Amino acid sequence: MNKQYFLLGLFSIVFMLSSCLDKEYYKISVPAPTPDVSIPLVKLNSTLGEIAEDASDNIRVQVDADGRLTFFYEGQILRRTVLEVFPPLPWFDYFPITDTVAPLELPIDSNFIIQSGVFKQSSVRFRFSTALQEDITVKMVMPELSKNGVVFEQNFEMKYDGTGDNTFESELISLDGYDVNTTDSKLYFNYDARTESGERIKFDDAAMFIDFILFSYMEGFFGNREYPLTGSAIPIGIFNNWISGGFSFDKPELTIGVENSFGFPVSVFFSRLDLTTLSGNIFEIESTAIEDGIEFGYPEISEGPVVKNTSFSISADNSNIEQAFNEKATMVNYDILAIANPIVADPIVGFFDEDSFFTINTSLKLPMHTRIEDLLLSQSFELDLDEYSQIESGELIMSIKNGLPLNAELQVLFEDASGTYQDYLLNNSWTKINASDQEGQSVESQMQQVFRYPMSETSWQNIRQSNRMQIQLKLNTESMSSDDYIWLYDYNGIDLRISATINQ
Amino acid sequence: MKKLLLAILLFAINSIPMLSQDTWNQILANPFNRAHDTLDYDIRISPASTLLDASSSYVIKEITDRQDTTRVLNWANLLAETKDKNGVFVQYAFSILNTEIYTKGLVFNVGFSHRSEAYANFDGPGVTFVIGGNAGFDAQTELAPDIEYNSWYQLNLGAKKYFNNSFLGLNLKLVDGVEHFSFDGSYKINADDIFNEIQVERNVILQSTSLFRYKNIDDIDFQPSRPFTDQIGFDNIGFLFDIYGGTKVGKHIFNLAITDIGFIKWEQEGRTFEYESKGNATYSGIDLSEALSNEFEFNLQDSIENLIGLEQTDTRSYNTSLLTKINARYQYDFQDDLSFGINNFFAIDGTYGYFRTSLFANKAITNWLDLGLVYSFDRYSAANIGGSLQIQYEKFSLGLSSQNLLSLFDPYGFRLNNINIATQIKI
Repeated sequence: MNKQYFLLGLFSIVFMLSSCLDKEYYKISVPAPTPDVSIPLVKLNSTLGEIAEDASDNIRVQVDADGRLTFFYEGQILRRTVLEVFPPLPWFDYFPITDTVAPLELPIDSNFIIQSGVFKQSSVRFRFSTALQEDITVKMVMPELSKNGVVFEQNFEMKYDGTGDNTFESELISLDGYDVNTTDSKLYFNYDARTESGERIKFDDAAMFIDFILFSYMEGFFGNREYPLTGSAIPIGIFNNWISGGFSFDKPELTIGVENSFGFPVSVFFSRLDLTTLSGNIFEIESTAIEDGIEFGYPEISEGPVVKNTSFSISADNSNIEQAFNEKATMVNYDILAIANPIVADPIVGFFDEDSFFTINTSLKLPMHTRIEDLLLSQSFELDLDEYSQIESGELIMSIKNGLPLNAELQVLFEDASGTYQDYLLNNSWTKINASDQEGQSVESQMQQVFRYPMSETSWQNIRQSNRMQIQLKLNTESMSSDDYIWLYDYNGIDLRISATINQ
Repeated sequence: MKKLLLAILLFAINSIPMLSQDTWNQILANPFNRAHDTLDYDIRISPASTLLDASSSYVIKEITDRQDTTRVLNWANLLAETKDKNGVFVQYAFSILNTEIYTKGLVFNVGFSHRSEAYANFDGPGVTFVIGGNAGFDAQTELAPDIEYNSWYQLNLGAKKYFNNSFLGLNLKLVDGVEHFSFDGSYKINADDIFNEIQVERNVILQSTSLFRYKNIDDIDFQPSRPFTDQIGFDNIGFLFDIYGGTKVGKHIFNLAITDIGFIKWEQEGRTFEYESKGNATYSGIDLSEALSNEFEFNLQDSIENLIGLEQTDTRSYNTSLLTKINARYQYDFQDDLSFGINNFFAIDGTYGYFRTSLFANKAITNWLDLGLVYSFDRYSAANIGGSLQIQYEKFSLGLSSQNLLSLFDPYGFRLNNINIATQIKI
């Protein structure tokens, strides 16, 4: 073989091969994979009892022994403590003792008559001055004050220091725990000052300093006091999503409860009580109780400072509240006036201690004893699906176990560019969800109902371009006469799962 | 003739980047492949040699579509071609100025190379899950790809000693690591019902040097190195050695070589990172019972991020070992100018193994031309016909070989691609 020809041939082959090795020719581009993904989107497994435990804002839910539910929409609480009703009286000044027996009228409301009390944290100091240039002994007695049966008495020695008048100022003397017994709200200062020879004298100047007057317990006539609470309202969310249909509740009640540990009566008067409905109308609640006021209990002196709970209900029995409420009330509006010792003509001896308080709370009691007829509820959500542009089509799959005694129909709408809601999933038909088929049983025991919502490429593109979604839910209580109500129980609930299969 | 020689030399050098544009090569490090060993004194220089060796359970042509001037991966075809067990083995080498000094009975060698190797081993269900998605998967799926990639420079120094009809050799290699990536561990995914939560049991360690820095799935900072253009800084030092030997008994020649034993310590500041994903994660969609009283926002990306759960660790240094290569070769010299034999090649580490068996026959056509024929099968392909050619022209030698000749004309049409180009000048 001729070496040169062979090498030339070899070179030609290699050259041909190298011409095949075009960089672009062998380039491989790798597009992002487009997996078909199945993912759970939403789940809800809750009983009404669990929802009740998580109730927020102004809602409280009560479950009775049979598991029946009652909603309470709570209003604003009016609470007054003893420090607000009888605030400490700051004095921080000297009160002149003009004679060897001098009264101090306690600076309290003229309506008050203090009969007895116990000082708390107050302190007193005395100041004396005389022109006599000798030692003086002083005994100060306050006969209305005693502690453990011993009358308040203080003795002072005024040593003359040899210059000018003989002046004296005592240390602060605590009155904490001293009982006060008076018939006219006055304290008396009796002092007996004597010279070295035993002669009783009257000081040229005598005064008493007290920091503030505060009692840990007091008995007396406390007069009439008013505590207004205006502009109050109880928002009621239960009709928020109502569109149409009937939604009735059996025996809603407006309950006013008072806790009172003041030893005198408190009455509550409504200066306004009405309901605002979905349509914005105002329904006035009519009841004799509103006109007469509602008087609440109080502890007797013999009982001591215990808390007395009393409540009063404005219900279908004494008012038009049921009729007004079922007009789809969204708000209870009320102004109340709490009056302590409301009967001025017949005052009683009352009392309070350092922990005394009263609270007035109002709540709308809504037993979940209901009747639902073609109730249509609606809820809208913002939607932003821009980041899911790679999705071509897919399917939504809904599984539901309905433990509620309600037949339901569901429709999901999406807002189009013109602002109209369109059904891109079921073409204007409703998904019918059967009511609980295992009465009295848990959610898990109920039949699983599965619904599929295929999304074509067109449907998905319409949905993706929508900015708002609206869920409409139509509810009916199952096969009952128009006058019957059914109870909702704490074990009633729903197990809802929505998953999606996404084709990319 | 000098022009022809120059053209061949230039082609040998220029072909390297063309061959390596999408894959890796390796110098054929097996010392047995040097023909015409001599006991005479001389110096031989290999100006440039390269080897590209890639084997895969996939045929690229079958999983890509030709679109205009390029090929585009077709995921559906890839899924169709995916079997229960799948894998890729690639090695690439480019060696320059490899010099051998022959003295009486002793050969010293010194040289410089850039090398890369990579393997991936992955189960079919995992591939289907990642590419096809989890729709239709009801049971547990395990994603446990075993992936390792190393790229490095090496400066080797070696000696070979002849004893009558035998020889024994040792190569020591100082290594500068260039790039590394490894994925170890698994994600076990349990999604037993379309309505139920997706549970992921995570036990993954991912290490990277000079490839990328992961922050989240939307923020990956790629920082690849470019061989021979980025500075050689010995930031990631390693040591390797090869040991080999052979003996001739009559017409029987036995050779054994064990190469690339050692480690690379990756610790390049600002480019070496380790990530781990441990523990369990659950994706269950939005739980409305928790969201009833709270604001909530559904973010699929955050959810996927949470499932992947990769967190950067404090580790800024780690060691890797390379695939240890074993060549066991038997040759029978049937005639003076005709020999045949078998070569078994293994590349193994603790978790991965690759093998290739080659049956060969060599014929000296003239005193300056040897031709060979090779039949090979390996882990991923059953039949490949290769050939070799060696030209000795005065003091210049050129060796060209491929274990799949057809793949030279259609590189994407076969599971095995292999080409080896070696040049040598005797001084």
